Amino acid sequence: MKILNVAWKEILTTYRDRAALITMLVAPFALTLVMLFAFGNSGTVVLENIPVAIVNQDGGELGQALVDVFESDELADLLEPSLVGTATEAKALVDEDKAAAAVIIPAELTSIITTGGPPATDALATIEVYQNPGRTLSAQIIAGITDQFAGNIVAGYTSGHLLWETLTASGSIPTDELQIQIESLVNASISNTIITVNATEQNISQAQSSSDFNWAQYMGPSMAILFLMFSVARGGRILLVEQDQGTLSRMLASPTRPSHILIGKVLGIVSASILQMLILMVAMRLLMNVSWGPFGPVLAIIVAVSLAATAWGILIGTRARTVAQAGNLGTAISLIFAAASGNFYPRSTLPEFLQKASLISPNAWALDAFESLAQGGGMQDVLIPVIGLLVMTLILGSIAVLSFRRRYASAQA
Amino acid sequence: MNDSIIDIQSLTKRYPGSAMLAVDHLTLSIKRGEIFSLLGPNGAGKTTTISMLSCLLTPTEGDALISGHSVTNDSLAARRIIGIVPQEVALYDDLSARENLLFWGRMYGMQGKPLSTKADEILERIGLTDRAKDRLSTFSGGMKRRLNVGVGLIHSPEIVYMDEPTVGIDPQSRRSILDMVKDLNQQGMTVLYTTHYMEEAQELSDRVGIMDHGKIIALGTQAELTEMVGEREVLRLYLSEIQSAENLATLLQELDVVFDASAVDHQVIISTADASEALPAVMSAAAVNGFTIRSVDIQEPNLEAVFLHLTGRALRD
Repeated sequence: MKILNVAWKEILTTYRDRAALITMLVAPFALTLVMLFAFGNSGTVVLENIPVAIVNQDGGELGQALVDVFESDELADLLEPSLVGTATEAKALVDEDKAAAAVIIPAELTSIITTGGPPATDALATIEVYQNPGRTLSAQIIAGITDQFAGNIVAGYTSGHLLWETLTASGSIPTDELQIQIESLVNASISNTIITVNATEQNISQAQSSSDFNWAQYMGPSMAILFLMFSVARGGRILLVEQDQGTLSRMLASPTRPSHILIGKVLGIVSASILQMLILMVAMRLLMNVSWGPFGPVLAIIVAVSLAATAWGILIGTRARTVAQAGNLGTAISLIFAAASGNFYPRSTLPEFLQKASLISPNAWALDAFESLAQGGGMQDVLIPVIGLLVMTLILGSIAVLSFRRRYASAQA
Repeated sequence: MNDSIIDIQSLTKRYPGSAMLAVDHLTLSIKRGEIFSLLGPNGAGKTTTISMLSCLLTPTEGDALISGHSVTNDSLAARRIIGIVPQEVALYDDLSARENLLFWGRMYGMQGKPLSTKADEILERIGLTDRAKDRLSTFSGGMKRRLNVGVGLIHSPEIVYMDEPTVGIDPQSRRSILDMVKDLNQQGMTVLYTTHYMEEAQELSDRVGIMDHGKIIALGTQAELTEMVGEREVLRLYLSEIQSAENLATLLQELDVVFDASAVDHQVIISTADASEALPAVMSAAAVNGFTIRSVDIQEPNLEAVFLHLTGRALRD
């Protein structure tokens, strides 16, 4: 009863504090809006005019056939191909985010593939697709088209060489005629490639809802998590504020165990945080048409990240000596966590060491989970991040409880 | 049968890193149903004593029994019996007056109709019924102080500790609080009251403990204490703000007719055998040395004179 009393008071005073409401609700909503205006859109990703840099080092028909595929009318709305002289130039365009991928067609591709003889067991040639990690889906589309093309070439190559072996063994067809037959088979493969690309484009459109990386779906919860850390740091500071204004002493002088006061406070802060995230989730859905993902996994992430963030907040509150110290520490930690964890860009674009190091923050685990949802994942994909957040809560919470008990040891029953 | 409700036994507190004892082996009994005042200047150890009796500070040595429950070994039971009115207003600005009372009532295990009824009763008693639903942030300092007292009474405690509840308060609210203390006492509540206002201790207390440097230096009823200074009277001289009361007190201390002289704010407080006889000499010494006395009070023997007699300092030094 006393625990619920403390928790309810915490929620009530939090949601009556205008400054807190701005940090908790207005700021994340506004920043999401700004980020989407600046870098993305407010709903699903529409794929069109994907810039692709093509380097055709092959002088023959196959290289040109692949270029023709990328320049075909069927793909005109989807792709924006540009022919580049060298692989270095093409990769530079990708590195500068001016292209979603670079397709580098090797020299002598046509002559290697169309040369007669028994079928090769190792790769004869490699078409390199250099992908932009910031444009995951677009790069995957370009790689898919190239794969499809290569697959048809291989099919044509294999059929041709089997035919060559069979006819040569029987000695019934002159070699020159056989060469013409093989080339016609390869050409048929090229024709088939074009037809298949059309089919691929349709598949991509259908697959968007499940395999697309939805920037808005990531950015909405990301901003909410960023400000959740700020508001929870404020929650941790409340212990010191109450100490300064004498209400903590007054509570400790009542027949209430200090641990119950702490549990009540934690429950209040966690509940206020969950409510904050749910309000933002609903508001973004209704006002910005931004979905965070399926409700079940989203709720699991919200609860887990609220617990972990609260554990951080309470730990700061029990370790800091003054309100100002807790405020500064909370702000610094929130900002570092946000920058290191990828609150402003997909985590998959961060260097690997930073992705691992940032797992000390609730942001990182939660963003990993939301990134999975943004890529079409479900509950099974967020389980590990959720467990990570709960383990973090357990460890930090235990340290916070010990600190609190040590600080207020004299009021123990 | 022992009629004491608070038994303090050699209670001592030394703060970490401090050479001084904040409370120095304090031994004291407070009777059930009395108003006991701890009177002393700031820093005398009154609040530290209250904090230990509230189970908020662990004594360095000694113990205290609250209605038989040790503050060190049985603090949860001790805390159920006491109500606390802290020196500073310890309430929530974002809650209304009534919400504050309900919150603190629940912290003492109250709930439902009894709590609601008691909250209304307290609001009536402290004169805030018409402001019950207003947030505390809209209240004046005096109104907050009254609610601060009301919260300490919400669970009808056997004992209430009031730690300087009238500091910085308007006269109307001060009068209201003092009347409330007397009223509660008449209903059987024991009151432990700390103050550095001599007048409050004189008006309220059945017994007074005068505290200085962590020790009780005098204890008894007002009559018993004033007997300590015999027939001494107190002369209170008021100076203008630009003059140094400290310099005049040092000067007057040299006069034969003056037992003790002490400065506080812009006043000099003098203990003397006969105020009428001492006054000409005092005025003359002040005038010769360039001091202008704006007004003079002559007071009967009182607790101020006792403190001055015992310590050589004024209460509000």
